[in-house]
Amino acid sequence: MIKLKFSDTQKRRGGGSKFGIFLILPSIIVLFAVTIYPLVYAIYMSLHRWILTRPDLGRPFVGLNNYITLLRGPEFINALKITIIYVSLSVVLTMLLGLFEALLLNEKLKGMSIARSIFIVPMLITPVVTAFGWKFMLDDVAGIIKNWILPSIGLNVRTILASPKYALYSCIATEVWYQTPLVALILLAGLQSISKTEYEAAQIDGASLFQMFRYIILPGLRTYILIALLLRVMDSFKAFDIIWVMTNGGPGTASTTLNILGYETLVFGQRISDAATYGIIMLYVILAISLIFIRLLTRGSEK
Amino acid sequence: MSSKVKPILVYIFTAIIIIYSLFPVVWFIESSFRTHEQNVSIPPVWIFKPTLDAYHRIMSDFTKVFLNSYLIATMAVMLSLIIGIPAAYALVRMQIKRARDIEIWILSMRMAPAFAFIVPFYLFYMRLNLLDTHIGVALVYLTFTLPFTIWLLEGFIKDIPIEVEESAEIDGCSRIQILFRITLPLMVPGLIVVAILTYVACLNEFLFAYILTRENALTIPVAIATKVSFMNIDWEAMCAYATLTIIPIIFLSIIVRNYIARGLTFGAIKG
Repeated sequence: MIKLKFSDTQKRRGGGSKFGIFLILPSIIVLFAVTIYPLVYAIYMSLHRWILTRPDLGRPFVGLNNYITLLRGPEFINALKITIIYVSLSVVLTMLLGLFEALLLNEKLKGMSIARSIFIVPMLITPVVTAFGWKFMLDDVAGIIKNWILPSIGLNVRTILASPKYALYSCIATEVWYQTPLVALILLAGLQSISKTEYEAAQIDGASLFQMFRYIILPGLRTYILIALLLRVMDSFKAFDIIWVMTNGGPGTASTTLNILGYETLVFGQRISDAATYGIIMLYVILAISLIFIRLLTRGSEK
Repeated sequence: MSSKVKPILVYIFTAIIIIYSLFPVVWFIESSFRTHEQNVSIPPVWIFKPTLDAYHRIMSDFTKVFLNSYLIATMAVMLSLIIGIPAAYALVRMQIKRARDIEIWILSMRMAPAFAFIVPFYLFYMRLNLLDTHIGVALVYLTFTLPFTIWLLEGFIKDIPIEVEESAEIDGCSRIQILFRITLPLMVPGLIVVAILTYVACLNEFLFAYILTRENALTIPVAIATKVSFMNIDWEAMCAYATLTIIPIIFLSIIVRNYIARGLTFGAIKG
């Protein structure tokens, strides 16, 4: 039940267009004021040098200079690297684990309906609370994972969240924990859309589990996988809550993603033109990613 | 694989998944009833006499940010419903020029990074003295609540058979009457679902609130994030904080559990 078409296909009644505009105008005005206007203003800011704590410098027009300096700077390169690790690892892990969960929960066994309502718990928890919960478990003093679970399987580490080696991966693990249910839900909907007769026909033909997966389940899930992937890439790219609460982007810059870097530039540095530039860069990245996915999705539905 | 082994494996893995999904939550809820000594003891104390000390310590502070969060969410949800209902109705049922463009614009807001909007808002709010005000945060929340409301409501309006409205028109109802007397009452379940989903989204929001509030309009997530960034964290108190935060949200989520997938995927999946 994928809804990719816009409402053009819906039956519409003719006439009444003036009344229609009257109904829709408030939304257009508000949306314009809270989305288009700020975005245009952010672009304007990104073309000037503008530091809040230095009003004496004025705000001279610098063209694309902010983009050039920032894109070349070590801060950005480092944050980009960390963002790519964060996004790719958490996307791959949530997709694999989500697929596994969906396949499990799709089994029609006694009691599985209870499991189906429990496994979504992580995505119902406020992300900041999730981050706190994991920070609590990983903490050096009070953490049950750091002080009890890991030592009991023979792993002793001095610190987890304050270690440049593990901090980023702890954030990724947390992101995986709370984003997997969404992937599983989407793929579960996909699995339920594959008709039973197809499974049965394949079973009669003597298909192995792997063949079933490769030739029936994967093609049937294609659109669902793409939608899940799109949402996961977007959301992990925008991740802020988890990382900020767990590590503040640290230690040092070990878990400073683009979003964290942008935040620090804005709030600590008060370099609002640089922060706006980061915002616009992120917007372009997201735009590029979504164009690729939209192309993949529409190509699939043309077939 | 033999047909006897498979169910057993499925149950084992499902059990592992359930423990994995529940443990972190159960752990901080349980720890909120422990004393500090019990919390740092290794191995963990599993059986203990629950204490409400942590709750007493945070109550007055929590009440304040709780009210902030719910006030802001209420304002944002109300505003987006009032503005969004007519728009969603018009987009589905009327001939609007460029309706498709408007819908793409609305949909693209699900994708846009919040950070691209936050910088200008920070500056505007500084100039307009809206920093750290409830209405200021609520207005910023419109950037996601309004597109979300319109998009999801469209789905619900499409589910209402158009014949109901047509017969009302034949009976001589005006368009306004049709909207208010016929369509709106039929939309009530959908409206409740959309309101709850947006409400929860506002209660969970962090980045905007973190940048735009200081003290006066502090929301729950901002308060938690600020309190756990210090060196000496009062874990029991924070566990109590976390527990109180998620209880109403889980309750709200249970009411709309069948629509959560639809909401989070912006209607792509009608789970």
